[in-house]
Amino acid sequence: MTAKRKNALRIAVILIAVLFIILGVFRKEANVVLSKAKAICFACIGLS
Amino acid sequence: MAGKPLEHEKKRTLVQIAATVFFNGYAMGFAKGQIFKGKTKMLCVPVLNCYSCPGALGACPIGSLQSVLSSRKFRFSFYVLGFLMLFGILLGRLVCGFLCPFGLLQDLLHKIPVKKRKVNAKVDRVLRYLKYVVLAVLVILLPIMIRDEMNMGDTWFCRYICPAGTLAGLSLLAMNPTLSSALGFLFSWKMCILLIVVISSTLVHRPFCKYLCPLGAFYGLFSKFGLYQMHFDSSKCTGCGKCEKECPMDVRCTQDINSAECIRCGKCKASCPVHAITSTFGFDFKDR
Repeated sequence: MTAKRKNALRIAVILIAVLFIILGVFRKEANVVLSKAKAICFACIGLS
Repeated sequence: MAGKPLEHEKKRTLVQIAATVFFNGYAMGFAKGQIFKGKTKMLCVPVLNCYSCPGALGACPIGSLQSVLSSRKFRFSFYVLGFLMLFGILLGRLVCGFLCPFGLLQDLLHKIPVKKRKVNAKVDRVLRYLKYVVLAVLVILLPIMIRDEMNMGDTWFCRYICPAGTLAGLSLLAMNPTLSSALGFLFSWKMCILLIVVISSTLVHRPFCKYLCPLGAFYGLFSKFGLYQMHFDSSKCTGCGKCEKECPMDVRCTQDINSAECIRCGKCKASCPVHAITSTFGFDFKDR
């Protein structure tokens, strides 16, 4: 892969990633993450 | 850095410890047997760091991905995928080599002076694909596809595999006796997995990263074009083989320096006596 193509791919991935994060915030996915992360995850620690 | 592998390893260990402390900076959690509940937990961290660890200040991206995918409302997570792609392109598996607390644990366990083992090459080659199966099936497909009567999925990887979560749970259970009353088969199963990972880490270098970690599998997808790249100059190489001997992930440095298996620990670079291996971070301005 040439340097030019590699750089174009990198920029595209960074832009898509940032766009996805913003879209996720608007869709309120961040709230799902927060609600899960601030409660003790019984599944994670092996409690059923 | 070249020619100073021990010095490099000391520096790397210090960075790993600093990262572990940084991602688990809520010291009160360990003292009280509680977890942090602040807003920073909305943000994904780049490492496999269970959000049920008492010190965790952010959200584990693998746990978060499963949580969103298994929720009633969503079947796709732009948010978590965005974080994963951003970390993947910016840092890639440098995260595994320098930042991941579970990687640090395995590195420390491997320092225990017991006779080291080599996994059979054919078995090793097959097992390396297991982490991609774990990522595709346990982290993505099952949380989306298998639903209960409430239309909720499950976090399959966290529930049945993740040893980082079990480890986080141990510190919670030690301080919080009410949780201990809920111990059962699942906890025994997860303790078995944790023990297998711990014991095998003393014998083989980073077995969890090599064979099971879905986060490493995802970051590996960016190894060939991420911003952090390794470079091998064949005109300088004398063929001494030190780089491949030092590599904890058994990467064939002279043939595939940016392998998806490379955790960017830099041991190859530090051990090369003729500086044939280098690394760069950033955009390329010339073809290599």
